[in-house]
Amino acid sequence: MLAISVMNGLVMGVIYALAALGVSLVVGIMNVINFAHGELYILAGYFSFLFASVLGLPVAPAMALAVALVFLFGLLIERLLIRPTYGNDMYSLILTFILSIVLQNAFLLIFGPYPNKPPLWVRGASDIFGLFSYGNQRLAALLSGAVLIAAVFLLIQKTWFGRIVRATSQDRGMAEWNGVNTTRLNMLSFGLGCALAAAAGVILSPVFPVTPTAGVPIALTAFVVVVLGGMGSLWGCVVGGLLLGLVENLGAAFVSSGYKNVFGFIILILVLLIRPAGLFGRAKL
Amino acid sequence: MLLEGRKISKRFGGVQALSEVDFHVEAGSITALIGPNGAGKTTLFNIVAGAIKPSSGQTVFEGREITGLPADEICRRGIARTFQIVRPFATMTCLENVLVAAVNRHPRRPRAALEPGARDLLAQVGLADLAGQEARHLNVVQKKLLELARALATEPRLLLLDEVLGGLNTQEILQAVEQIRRLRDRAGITILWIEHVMGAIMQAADRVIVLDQGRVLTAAPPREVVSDPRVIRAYLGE
Repeated sequence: MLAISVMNGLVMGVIYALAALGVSLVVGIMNVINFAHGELYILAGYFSFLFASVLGLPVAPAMALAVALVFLFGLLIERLLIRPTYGNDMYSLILTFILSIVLQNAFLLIFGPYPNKPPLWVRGASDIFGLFSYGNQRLAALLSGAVLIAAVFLLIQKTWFGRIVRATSQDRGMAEWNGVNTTRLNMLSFGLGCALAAAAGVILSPVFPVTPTAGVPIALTAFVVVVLGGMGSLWGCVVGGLLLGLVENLGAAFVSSGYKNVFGFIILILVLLIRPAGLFGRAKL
Repeated sequence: MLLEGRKISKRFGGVQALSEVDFHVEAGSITALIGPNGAGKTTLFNIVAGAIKPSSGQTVFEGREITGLPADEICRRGIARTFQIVRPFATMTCLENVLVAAVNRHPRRPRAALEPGARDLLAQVGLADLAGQEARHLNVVQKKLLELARALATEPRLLLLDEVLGGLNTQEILQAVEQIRRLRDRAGITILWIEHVMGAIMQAADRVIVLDQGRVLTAAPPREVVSDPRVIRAYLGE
């Protein structure tokens, strides 16, 4: 029981961390909160379902295509909805909130209220250290999520793009005076943030099917993780995501599954009481 | 003429920060910009560097108008600036700080090709040993030098210096003035320089533009400026 809850917690934690990284990137660079983050997660799940289950593409290309399309959609959102609002954060908040409602209803219209599920990547289950048997699909989700998180860290810490991202998140004006085209950087990072939501979506949707409104709790959790970890801190997203995933699943197993979402908020309140800026609040990207 | 300002005015609400300022900076010169506090020096810098737009008037750099262009575009045209209060990217190493500027100057060049140049710039300002150190661990003088190296990495033809000597001791001031001269003499970078340390200006500047209450009081070689009764009156009052 304990071991399985820990495994479930890790799987969910990695997905939370991935979704939160997307939010954190966009907040850190653009100071914009994308309320449609969860719907983009769902959109990628639907795409992946559409390409793999309906059109019959192999699983991997279907997922890659889904993430790429959501990335492009993200660029479009930035260009059409976010860019005209720079200078007033409230407008982008309202616009992305409207976008989330529009997307939810579009999903309902196109796919109906029923859960849809892309095919599993792998079947069967593995024996974990002789303790318990665990679904291969969940193991694959855990592994691919962890690899993606590592890739995001490499991108931010080691590449040109990452250096420019860090410089801009620390001092936007100074970055511009050093030649950074922040308009283009905004667009790219918003697209990347959406792509991270999409990656979380394609990884988890074979386990937890997508419905038109299933993105709401995912986005809420991602926001909780970002605040828990500290605004703009990438490590905060990872630690916060894992912490939340573990607490929710252990709480559900040993206290009551009815309170699953409450545990996250209890942790959030406790952390904020002690460290108001979040776990890694002062660190920058 | 490298830089020219034509009838630049800037109004902040009810305050007329600059009114019809005409000025120019000769290519290859060290031009100082002085004036009492509130004269509009930093506002003029911000307009030239693209941080704010003038209410009216034009700025022309190398014969092309640059009024109102975004800061990163002005940087790419060849104007760099440093700040009175230093602003390094604190959690990045010195080398990374310089590389951010270099990579935006040469977006298509492979990263390995840029690193020697960046190290070279750090060596030029005397920070070679601190290349791997995070910028927040530097002292104020080192941070200023880092900011200079970073500005140079954008390969400017005009460098705007905003009170680089503030907080330095006499010895450090001498070194900094020497450094600024070398930039002009060896790298051929034209310098427009806001400064309060008059001794340094007397030593290094070819020409001094004096601003007072948002207007150009005079523009002349430093010896003439310090003996100009209008300038003395602006600083000391009647």
